Amino acid sequence: MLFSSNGGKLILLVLCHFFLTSCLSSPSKGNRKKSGGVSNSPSSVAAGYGRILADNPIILSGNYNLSADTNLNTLLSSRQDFITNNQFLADECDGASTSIANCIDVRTNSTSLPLQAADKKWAFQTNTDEWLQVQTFGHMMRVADNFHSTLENAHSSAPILGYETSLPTSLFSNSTHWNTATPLVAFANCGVEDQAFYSPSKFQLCFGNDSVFPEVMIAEDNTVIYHEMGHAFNHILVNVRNRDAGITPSADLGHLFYDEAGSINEGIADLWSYFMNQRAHFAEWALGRFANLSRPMSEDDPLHAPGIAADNNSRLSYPAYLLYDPNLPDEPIEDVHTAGQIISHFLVALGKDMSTQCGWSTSTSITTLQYLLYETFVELGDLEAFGSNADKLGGINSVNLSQAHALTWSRIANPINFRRFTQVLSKYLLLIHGQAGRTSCNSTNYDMDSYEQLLDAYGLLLFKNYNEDGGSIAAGRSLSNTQITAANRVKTVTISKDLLKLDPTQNASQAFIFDNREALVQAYKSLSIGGRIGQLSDLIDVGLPYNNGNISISPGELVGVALNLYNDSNSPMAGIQVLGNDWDHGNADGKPCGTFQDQFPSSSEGGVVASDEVGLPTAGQCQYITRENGDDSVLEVMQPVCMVQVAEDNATKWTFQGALQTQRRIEDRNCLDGVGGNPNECFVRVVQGTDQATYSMLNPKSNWSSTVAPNGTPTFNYSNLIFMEVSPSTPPGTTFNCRFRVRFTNCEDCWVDPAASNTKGDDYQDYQYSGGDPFKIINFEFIVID
Amino acid sequence: MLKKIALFFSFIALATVFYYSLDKTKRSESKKIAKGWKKYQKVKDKTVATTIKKEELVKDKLVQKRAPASVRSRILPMRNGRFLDGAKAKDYSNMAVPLKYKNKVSPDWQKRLGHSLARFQDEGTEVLIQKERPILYINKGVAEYREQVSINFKLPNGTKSSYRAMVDSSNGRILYTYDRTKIEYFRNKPTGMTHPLAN
Repeated sequence: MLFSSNGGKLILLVLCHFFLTSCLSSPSKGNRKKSGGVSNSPSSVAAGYGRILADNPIILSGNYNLSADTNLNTLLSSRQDFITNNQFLADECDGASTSIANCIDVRTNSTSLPLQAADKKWAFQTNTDEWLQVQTFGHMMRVADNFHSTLENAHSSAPILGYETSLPTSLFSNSTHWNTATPLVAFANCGVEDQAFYSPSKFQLCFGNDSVFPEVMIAEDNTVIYHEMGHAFNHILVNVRNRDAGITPSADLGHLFYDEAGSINEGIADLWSYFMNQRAHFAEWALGRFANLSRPMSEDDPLHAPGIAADNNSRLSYPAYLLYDPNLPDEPIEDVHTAGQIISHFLVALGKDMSTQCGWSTSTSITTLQYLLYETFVELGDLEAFGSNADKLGGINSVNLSQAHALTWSRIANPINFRRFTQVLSKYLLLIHGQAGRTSCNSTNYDMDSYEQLLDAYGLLLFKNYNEDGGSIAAGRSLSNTQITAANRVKTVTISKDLLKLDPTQNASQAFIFDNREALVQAYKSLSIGGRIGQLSDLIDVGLPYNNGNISISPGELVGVALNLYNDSNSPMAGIQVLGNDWDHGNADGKPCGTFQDQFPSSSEGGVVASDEVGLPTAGQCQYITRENGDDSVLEVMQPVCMVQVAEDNATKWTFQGALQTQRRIEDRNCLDGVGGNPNECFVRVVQGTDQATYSMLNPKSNWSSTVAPNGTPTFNYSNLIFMEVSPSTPPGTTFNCRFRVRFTNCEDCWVDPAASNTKGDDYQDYQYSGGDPFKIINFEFIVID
Repeated sequence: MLKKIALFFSFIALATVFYYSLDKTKRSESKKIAKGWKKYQKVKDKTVATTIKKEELVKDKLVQKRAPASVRSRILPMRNGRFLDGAKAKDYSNMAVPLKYKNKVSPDWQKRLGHSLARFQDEGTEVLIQKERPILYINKGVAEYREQVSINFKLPNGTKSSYRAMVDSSNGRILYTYDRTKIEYFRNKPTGMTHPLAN
């Protein structure tokens, strides 16, 4: 009755209007900043358009003291920015001629509904969550489109240029250049303080806010969006060949809290900001203004300390500036972000050099840098272990040993570090622009001498040849590698591995033992949550009740070990790595090899010596290195690092732990690895996932502590430690020797095989990293104390 | 007599209606449970295993509410319902090709994994494990049963972390991890360990 009348119909209309409009998302009441400036309302834009900040607020305002509560509307341009023609804030990514549907999706946080604009107008006041989502989405789309189009152009250029590319032929037909199972979802205000993160497992990005200035949202700074997207791109690139082959696991660029691969990842992520806006500085607003953490990418940046300049005598060089933060120039900081600056500075300088030499515009040089990075990362991340299409066709494992062990090789045995990265990048520069016959650079080839001099100015001319033949046993000694010009190596210093040793200073500890209960419990929890550490043995009790904090190793404990390494040279060492993984240091009879440089253990100590083995080395012998990390022969067994001393025939001998288990008649269930496990890990074993420790650098004639904390004692990051479990059944008084292998990036004889028949200095082949030759062996001997 | 028959059939009819309504409730409840996911929560020194509802996973950003518009899935080689992994593994997709096996699948591998991950954590910590793919890893003609899982931690203070892991199907041991979350701290970076000789 009510609605049969005109008045009733009107009431119905009003009620419907009321309810319908309340369903549309209305601008949230941000409590952040006042309104004003450009009226960024839906009526001011066309369908598909909105407004985002063209750059970060510091740059747009020119005010480096911009207040946290600045009205960002005043920094918007009246020009409209295309956002999307969809109703939701999600869209495809476009390459030059291909696209990825359902590519990017942005929302405020996990519980919010997707932002919908029925009229497809994306203009909101800048103090709203809606605008922040549009800002995030707009910049993500720009950089993603750039990534896809440059990758597509690189892919199509490779066959024309005729070099051996790492990019799979089916890169776009199989869509392995993106994760197509789910869009890349970004949360513009995910509610975390002082953080942003990228989750590869969920393919998500999260942007938080500043805890001290909560009105400052990280996503307001487009350079941080580009940086985080850079991490996504890097992860995608190192897994292009893996996705193409349909294999697991995924490669990563950086595995520890501090390692050089992670530093490279950070440097390149910074560089994505430079790629997009051609400005060699990152995060002036979100990180710089309120936390003093912005980073330059060129030596002529005013933030740099005096003495750093854009000439080849004053570059931000490796390793001198590894610990240098321009915001705190007097304080050494071991951090992947500070170390990554060397890479970003080098590549910006390279781009400028290419523009100068070849007459290219800045954007052309940037595109060239991107091509080089794409090829480099795709090759380095290949866990199928081929590295290129040609090698895959030929069945040649040029990188990372073999598919079965590629993950171990890329993370531990032959990891991505500053040397390997620059060597592979240089190889592609040579192949694409530098070799004779190329005409891309002012109708001739790019001058590789000039390039090597630039690389040397950064301390990065760490290799002797471009290693085009790779690391396979089949083809890694081809004698055809392009050599560097020796005269170009002036500033880069490489050091003999013999000069890396345990601290010889009187009364110095050979290692630092961490066994404080609370600290180790916290360490294990943290490492477990982060996916870094595997499970502990069932013999190690919850709460670590055996951990007694006596800085010694006792039965039942979980301990952290940091070797007290010392640089006995007159130049800084960098990228120090201690390996605690299983390696080829025993023979087929289960006896430890004494055939390494230190000739330990001797024959009388239970070791196998060279004179015990006659004829050419064969599988199972100490002088034979396993070709496939133990898979090539049943006689080749990879042994855990820790040996044990046993009494035998009125003498003490070194042997592997299974012998002690047998001698003491200890049941398998009382061994760390349990029933059916490895008896040579019965008493002491390195915890899976923590089988390497890294240190950024050692100053000349110094250990790590005095390098990173010259005025006090340092805090150790978890990546500085190797964690070990000790079985409660370990007899107190037992002596162990853990044979760690150590090396460093700017090492003269850790990467180049002096015994190679190619006397021009060929790199070690991948299989050789299973053995002892590329390393300095450090014997860490300790007694288990009750 | 007729009355008794009528009563009997009425009872049958009512019972049938009652049964299906119950079943519907059960079915609708079971639809809310996320398949392939298990939650392990530390409760007073014990680890408690439960199922988890889909809406919880959406809330925790572990799955999307809206399904992707289109997904192009590649056809990967399989054998006996397991994806093949390893060099030349696809040669073994033919069941006629013989294979030796290094291990067997234990029915409680996921439980063992969940318990071992949760046992050291604080009370209230949740470990959510999603089975992603059953794997048969083949190396030189020897196969190993493995499980590809997604592991997600949710701490009592709200912190979250996730990664993928390859797990031994025979005992729930993690063989390796990958796809770990990369967190950038702008302030309050995680503290490390004090030098043991500091005090």
